Amino acid sequence: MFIIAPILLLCSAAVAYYFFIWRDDGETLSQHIVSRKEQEKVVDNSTQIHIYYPEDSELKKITIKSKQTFDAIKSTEVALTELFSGKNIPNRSSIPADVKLLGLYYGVDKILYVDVSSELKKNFQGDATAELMLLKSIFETVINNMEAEDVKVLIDSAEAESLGGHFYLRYPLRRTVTQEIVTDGLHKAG
Amino acid sequence: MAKINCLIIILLIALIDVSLADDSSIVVRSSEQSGMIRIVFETENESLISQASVFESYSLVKIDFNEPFNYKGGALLEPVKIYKKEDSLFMNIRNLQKIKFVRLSSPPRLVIDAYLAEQKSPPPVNTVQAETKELRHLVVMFDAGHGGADMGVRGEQFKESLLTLSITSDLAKQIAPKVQKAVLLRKEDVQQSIEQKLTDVGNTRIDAFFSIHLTRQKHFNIYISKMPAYASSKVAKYNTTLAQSAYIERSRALANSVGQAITNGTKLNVVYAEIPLPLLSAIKAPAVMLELPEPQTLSYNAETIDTLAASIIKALMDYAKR
Ligand SMILES: [Zn+2]
Repeated sequence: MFIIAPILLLCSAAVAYYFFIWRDDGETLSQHIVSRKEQEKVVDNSTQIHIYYPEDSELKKITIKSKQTFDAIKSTEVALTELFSGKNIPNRSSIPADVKLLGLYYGVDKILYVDVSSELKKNFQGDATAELMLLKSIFETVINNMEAEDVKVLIDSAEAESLGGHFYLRYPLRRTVTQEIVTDGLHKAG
Repeated sequence: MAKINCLIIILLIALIDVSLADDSSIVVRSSEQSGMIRIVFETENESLISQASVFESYSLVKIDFNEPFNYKGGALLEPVKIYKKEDSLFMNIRNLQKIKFVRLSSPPRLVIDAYLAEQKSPPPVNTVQAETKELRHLVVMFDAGHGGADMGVRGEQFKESLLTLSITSDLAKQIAPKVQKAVLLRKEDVQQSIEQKLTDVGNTRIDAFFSIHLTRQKHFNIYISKMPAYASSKVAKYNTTLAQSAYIERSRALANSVGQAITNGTKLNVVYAEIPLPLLSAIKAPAVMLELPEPQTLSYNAETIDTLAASIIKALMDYAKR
């Protein structure tokens, strides 16, 4: 009986270590994004990174090249860092400023936990559509760079109820962001 | 002797400290004269008054002191409410028409005279009362979007959370005489989680729900909740987060009526959308979210509030006739 407890503890620690690999392999993100001059040299062994970003009430896409990697989470990390830093995004007015990606954790349930700094919430100032588009951009950026069933956003490593006060962050994003938005155009006055 | 000297020095430092701390204190008092309320902010600190800037937007007055201060409160008349946020005081005055302000010295003080709109005489009895008779049994709830630390859309001179608070309270006052009851979901500048709001809504029987927000766009947005394909009226009975499924057609009709009346009344455009808003999804009554254009596009004066209230009453009458 006394032996079982430590063994169980060891096993769970090993499992935890296996799954809780917060991305850290000594390489900084900026090193990972290939500068434009270098791009031509690595054309043949580069990975395409897809970034979906909100612009007003639409979702737009850019594709950039990054050093070749066979690690899809690494690609997703590059993509999300690009989304929040917005260096290559033509119009970043719908993305809150100074947001830092703090970590990614891929759970056994194929949910990617995206941990971001509180600026995502603090510096967001949009209406309901803007909030939905921002959540959608995070979701689409993830699922177009790796195989993930769903995406859950954490703010400063903790659960937050909402990003902008209109939608839940409490649950994974799929059921909110994949429902077709029905818009009945602009009804002109007069 | 040295000990006593030491004590005196310590006492003196403590006293200076206290007086310095008091220096940035602001107290307020108010008095009423015919149709006007005088609100006086008094302090020992000259620069607080000289640097203060005053903005006015509908029934909200922002006083930006441009440096930290200690708000001590004071005697306020009933139509006035004051909230402190960072280096500013936000003052909400019911029926405010315009303000005049002046800075005075010894002691340094900022005097704001708030002129109130005359209470309107009730509209001709026989026509309107007959038309709104159908509304007598309705309980209508207004939700002021955001609140507390969640300020929503922010501009130089407004915060969504405070503007929606003053707009909903005015709308409720205008609509209350026509219906059985007009209820406010949020009455103060406090943060309420979506779940807290839903618990509060669940405690009241309501016939219509309006959530009031702002948008940066130059038109109105009118939302109803997009319900998932599997959510039928049957599912709604067991899953309270999808309760809106049973009311979605009535919500759509209400949204269209409000939208049409708003377009006619304000001459501004309206965009309708169905998005999966968790607050609306769980409401057991026709429920609509209105996003109003920010104050640069539409000035929220008494006339605008009248138009919005009339639009809501018109939509409720269409709904009651169904
Ligand atoms: Zn809002």
